[in-house]
Amino acid sequence: MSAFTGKRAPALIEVVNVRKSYRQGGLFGGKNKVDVINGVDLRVEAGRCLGLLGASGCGKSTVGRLILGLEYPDSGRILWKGGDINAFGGEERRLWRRNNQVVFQNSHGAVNPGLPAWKIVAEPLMNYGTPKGELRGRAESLIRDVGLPGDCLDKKPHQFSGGELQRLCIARALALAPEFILLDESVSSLDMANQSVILELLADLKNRTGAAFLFISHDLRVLLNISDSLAVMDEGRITSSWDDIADLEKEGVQYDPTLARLVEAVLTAEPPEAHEAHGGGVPLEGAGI
Amino acid sequence: MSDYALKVEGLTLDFPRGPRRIVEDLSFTVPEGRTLAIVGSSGSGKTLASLAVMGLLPQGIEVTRGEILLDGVNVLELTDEERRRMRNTRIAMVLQNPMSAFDPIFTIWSHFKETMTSHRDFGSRRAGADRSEMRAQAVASLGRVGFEDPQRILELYPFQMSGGMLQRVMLALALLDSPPLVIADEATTDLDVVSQAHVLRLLKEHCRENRLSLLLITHDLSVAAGLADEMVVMDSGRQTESGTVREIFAHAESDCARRLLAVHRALYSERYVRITANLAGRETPREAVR
Repeated sequence: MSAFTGKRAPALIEVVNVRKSYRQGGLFGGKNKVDVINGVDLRVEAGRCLGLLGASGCGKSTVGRLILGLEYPDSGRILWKGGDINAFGGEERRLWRRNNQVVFQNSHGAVNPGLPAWKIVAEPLMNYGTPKGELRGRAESLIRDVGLPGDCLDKKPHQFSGGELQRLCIARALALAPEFILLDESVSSLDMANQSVILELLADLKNRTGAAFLFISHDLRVLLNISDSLAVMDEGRITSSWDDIADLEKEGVQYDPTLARLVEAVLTAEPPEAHEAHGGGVPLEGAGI
Repeated sequence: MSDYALKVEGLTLDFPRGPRRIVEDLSFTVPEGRTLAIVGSSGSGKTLASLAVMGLLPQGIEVTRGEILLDGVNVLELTDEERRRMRNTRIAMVLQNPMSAFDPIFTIWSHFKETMTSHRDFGSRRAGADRSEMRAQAVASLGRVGFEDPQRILELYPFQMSGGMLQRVMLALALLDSPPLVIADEATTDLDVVSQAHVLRLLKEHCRENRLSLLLITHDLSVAAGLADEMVVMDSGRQTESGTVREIFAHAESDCARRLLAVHRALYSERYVRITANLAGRETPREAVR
């Protein structure tokens, strides 16, 4: 259980002692300051998936927004390949932006309801100067890449199910072949069957594209399926971090209380017979692990 | 008295002029004081089946066949007025999305008042004398779902509370008149694992203590396994399997149930099981593990 310290080659993304607070209360700006992030350090290595685990309100989504540059830190730095993202200007900023994409939890809120599927996927391409004539073709191949049928190009968002729309959001995030994708509770609002399908798709895409992921979730079960390393967060701090997620299952390791609480919570939903059934039964085909 | 809280026989839901049948020939029984889970993936018709029981089907969807028996009375034959009175006194519902189930411009206290006045007899609609009584009931009800300062909670607006807190308020509202049957439709799906566990534990305790019957609608087999005694599996509007939770976990027969189990096991991986074992081994056995 090592912290993200020590001398190493610059990571793809480094979050260094970042702090962030919001002002609370009232339309006119309350006086109460609420510290949301209290000194967070993180490293996202190229081509790897870092899982960020924490309960609602622990600040994990804020970390994501800071990394994307949607919020500014009060102090501390966020480095992209060694350069401070909030100091980037002009062309540098443009390059960094295209290499940082995001898939949010609520897919219905993340797409323009009036646009057909192919335009949603083609939007980033358009912004980065792909010729108009090529857009539809490029969008089609991206849409096929995420396992959607090619005949859905002209469908509007309301004609898709939640799982399909999330695939569309993933296709959009992949459009510019980014080096980093932030996945903020990207499977949490899907049913179990869709969750596992999307997780498989993401794991496959990670291998194929070599993109690095930061996967934010409250559910360790989800993170175990996709992450290479893990950071646990509580009340704006990283409480423990694991370079190799497999270390978690070694005998005799110490879990920090936050991790224990989050694991234990899932246990309450699991009766003894389910354990027996799981331990005794042979995993069915297509179990996906 | 019957030995079941709810009995649904051959329930069929249709769009009268629509493209397809929504639910076909669904039959299940919620035994008195027990919990039945309806499990299925999105779009299998489980939510609409529960709305049919409440008499809250969206416009354009009709019950074309079947019976819904609540204490020997066919709910489908009741008038709107009788059904309104049935809700919350005989049967209550906890919905999935607490943020949209509450009206953002009213306080929690207003929500309690509305619930009390619209589902009870006219007597308690009189303000004044009954007001303090209503307030006391609301406070007691919030106390039961684990709020330490119910008076303060009553003055809050829904947007000032977290999803987990709101879901507990919704539970308090549902349990207000101790209805013998509670329907929980994906009641914990939008919550993080910690709040989910809290709400599920409250629901379970209440049902056990007061011998309430529970109809649980969920896509999450671990929720069903944690709470339910029996289970009905639905796929595309049809019932594919039913039995005790133990039976279905041990030997599921239908493709749909096997698929759901496979997904459940993929998520609840061996690695995860080892971690939980590690955790349980280190400390004294906790209630959670039992």
